[in-house]
Amino acid sequence: MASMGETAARQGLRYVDDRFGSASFLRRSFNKVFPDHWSFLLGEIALYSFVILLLTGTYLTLFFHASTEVVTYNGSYAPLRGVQMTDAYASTLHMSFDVRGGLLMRQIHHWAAVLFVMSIAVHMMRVFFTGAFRKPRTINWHIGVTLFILATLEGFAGYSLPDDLLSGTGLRIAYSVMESIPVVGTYLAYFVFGSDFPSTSGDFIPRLFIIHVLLVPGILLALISAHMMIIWHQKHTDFPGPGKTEHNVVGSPFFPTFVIKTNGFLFLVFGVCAFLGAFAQINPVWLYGPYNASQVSAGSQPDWYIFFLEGSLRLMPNLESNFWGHTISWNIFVPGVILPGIMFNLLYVYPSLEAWITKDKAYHNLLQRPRDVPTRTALGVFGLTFYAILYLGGQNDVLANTFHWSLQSTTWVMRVLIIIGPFIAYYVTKRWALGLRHKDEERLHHGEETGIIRRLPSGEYIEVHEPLPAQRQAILAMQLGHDLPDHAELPSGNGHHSNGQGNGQAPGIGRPVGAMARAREALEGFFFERHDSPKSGPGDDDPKTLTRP
Amino acid sequence: MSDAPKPRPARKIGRRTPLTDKAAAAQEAMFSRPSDDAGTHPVPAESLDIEHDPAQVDPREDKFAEWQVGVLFIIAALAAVGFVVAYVLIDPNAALGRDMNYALGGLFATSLLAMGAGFVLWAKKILPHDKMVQERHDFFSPEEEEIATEDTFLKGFQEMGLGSRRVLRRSLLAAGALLPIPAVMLLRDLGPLPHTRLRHTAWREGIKLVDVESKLPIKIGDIEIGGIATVMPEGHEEPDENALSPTILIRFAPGEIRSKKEASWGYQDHVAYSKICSHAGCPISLYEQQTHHLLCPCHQSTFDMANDANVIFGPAARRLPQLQITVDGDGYFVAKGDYSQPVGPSFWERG
Repeated sequence: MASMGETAARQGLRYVDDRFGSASFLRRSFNKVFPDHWSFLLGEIALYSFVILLLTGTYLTLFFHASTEVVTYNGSYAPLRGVQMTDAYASTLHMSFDVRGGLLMRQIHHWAAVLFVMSIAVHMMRVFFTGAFRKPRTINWHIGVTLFILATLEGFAGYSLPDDLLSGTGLRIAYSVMESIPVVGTYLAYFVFGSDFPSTSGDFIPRLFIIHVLLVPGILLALISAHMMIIWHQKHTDFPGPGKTEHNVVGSPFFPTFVIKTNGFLFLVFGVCAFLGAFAQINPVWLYGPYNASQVSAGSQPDWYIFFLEGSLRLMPNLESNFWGHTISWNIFVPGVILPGIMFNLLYVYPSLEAWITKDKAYHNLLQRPRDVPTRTALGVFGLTFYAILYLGGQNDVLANTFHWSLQSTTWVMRVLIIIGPFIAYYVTKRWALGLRHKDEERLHHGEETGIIRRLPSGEYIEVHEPLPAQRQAILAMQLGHDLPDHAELPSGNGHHSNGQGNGQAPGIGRPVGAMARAREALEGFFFERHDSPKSGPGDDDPKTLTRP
Repeated sequence: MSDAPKPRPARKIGRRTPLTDKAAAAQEAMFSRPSDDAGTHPVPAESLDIEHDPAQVDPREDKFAEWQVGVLFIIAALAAVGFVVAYVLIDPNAALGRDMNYALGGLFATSLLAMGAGFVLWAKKILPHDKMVQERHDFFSPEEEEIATEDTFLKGFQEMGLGSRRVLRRSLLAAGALLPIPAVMLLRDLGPLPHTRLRHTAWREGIKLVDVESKLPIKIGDIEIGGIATVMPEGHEEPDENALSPTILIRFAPGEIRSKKEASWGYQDHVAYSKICSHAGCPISLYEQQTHHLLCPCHQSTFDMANDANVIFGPAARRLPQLQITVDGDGYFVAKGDYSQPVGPSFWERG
């Protein structure tokens, strides 16, 4: 006899199937396998932060007035009573002090925003350093970069809405950055803000509001859905491990295990945001006061994801050109427009660029460790170092003040560091990765050190090495690229590694023709430099070292 | 219209990596189970070296695990009840609302964290730990499929005639190029044209300098030596409506001003400069009395106020514009006119 619950479940599923023919789709979905690794949770943090942002954000819209109409505040916050301010700021104060739980929702919203952008950034690092962006996931990487940019803009729009002194300062700088764009900048700024700064027409806050609560979230929602559907369709990547191949996924089924785990994770992320919202004050706009174009507070600091722009504006030398009655302020246009443009575009093109340089057209479902591709890892750290110095540059006054350094020397040190720092980081990372690879090669070919010293009949002393278990050996060999056909021929004499079998091309035969092809060869040489030092799989080794003593 | 399908050219797209021998062998050894039609088959926990599989523990331990999860869910439920109680009982105005925020937030967080922990423990202690293996399907379609789709597309494209019918193609291009123009035109009234607005402020000849704090006009002698005041033009005192007009009035000790021009544009050791940074437009506010340096808190541009407000450090490319001032018959400071150059950040038309 079927229980009541079972009957209900069967009827429910049948009701849906009668209308959609969904039985086989649902069964496949229930059984869909999700691999486990802590780093796969980073993207989930981003997803759940977004859910929290939608929930708390909707609540905030019930109280926020997107209006620059000037009102006199007479709410619960005594220090600002009687002060003239915009309705936007007054309604923010109202929801913070006169709506029970309003401050909590505001703070959870802001913390979730900080977490959202941060988890996207860390998730992108995971995807980059493990090579998860490679074919076939290139397009999903592009969607991800777009999400990162949009999340940053969305965050900036959000904390600019309350029209407090801090947000007004950020908008003033944004206005100046728009003004700096050659030819169209002045018009652009006037059209976006609806007038000169700070929007005497009163149009700007309502515009920013609808961008923040409808336009950008709508695009984010659509792109996140696409991102998830592509992951679902292409299946998740995984690290090499027992039984894992390029052609399978090993893990837990979507239903029930993954559903339970991921629900738990949603609650945990929400719980952490709620905890921070309760006990860690964030963006206390009532302390900054309403915006006033003649004031600014010292130590004005944006949210973390804007720091790099703040830093680039601070570190840029003061260049400006005047010609034929026109002005280009390089000191703003370069750090505020050109530089982020280059940075984001590099993120967009990297997967295709790497595939072009390495002539890699293969599908990749198994992830690499950072050490497995030293040049990519070093390039990533190059970029991160550049970003980190910009980030620190955005706080040069705070750093100088905290450590009692001279502000000018701090800035100069960073101006030098921004040039040489990334190269040092590149070199160190590359050597480091190569060193780790070398160690792995040694473990693969000669086994683990045992600490046992043995004296040979000849009087020679050797340390006994214990070979790795076969399983571990296979995985390690795979990670080091010995076993994969696309890397197996890396070190061959003419510097080519043939990816070509079966694709009708014959790369590596004859000298490259044309400047483009020569550049490609040179880049390939750069990318694979020293990858190929020991040309040997485990099978090529001295059999003595591989047999257990 | 279309010819018979041409023989397919040699494929240069995609390469199918074969499963490596070693990987195949390893997989074979560990996961040799028949799979269902979706290519999925379970792997028992023991073959994964999982010693503690909740599905195989003794019933008492199982019951204990269930209670652990249950207690967490009960905590979540109690915290939710506590939230309601706190919402009703706590004075929302106590300690500027901080008590309320701590109580509501603390209980809300407790509820969510207990809920999350319960779910995680549920997965860890109650659900079976065995794994599943699922075949990945090829990302590319079978060759016949690809060709058939390409042919269908090309056939449709040929029927459209965009390749062969020139009038159709060109007129469509013209329409496609011109149609977005109305959409762009609609954006025209987003804002007024800048005209020369960025070149002017509200300052005019004879307008008094009004202190933004006291809202009173400033008389000679009101500011002490070394003192500084932020001023707005009388009748236009609202900074937010005259964002380019904020001006600082500085009084030096006699002889401190090093630039003749600066001194002559001021009045008796008083000089007035635009407060809007020539870099990114922040109102500059940090004045060092001893060095006469004015520092912008946004990007640390530093100006030497005793020497024409020249840039001595930072990203600003231009000195701050000076406002010519004098005093009227009653001893009040007045402007001698507008700034002689645009104030604030640079823009394309500035020149």
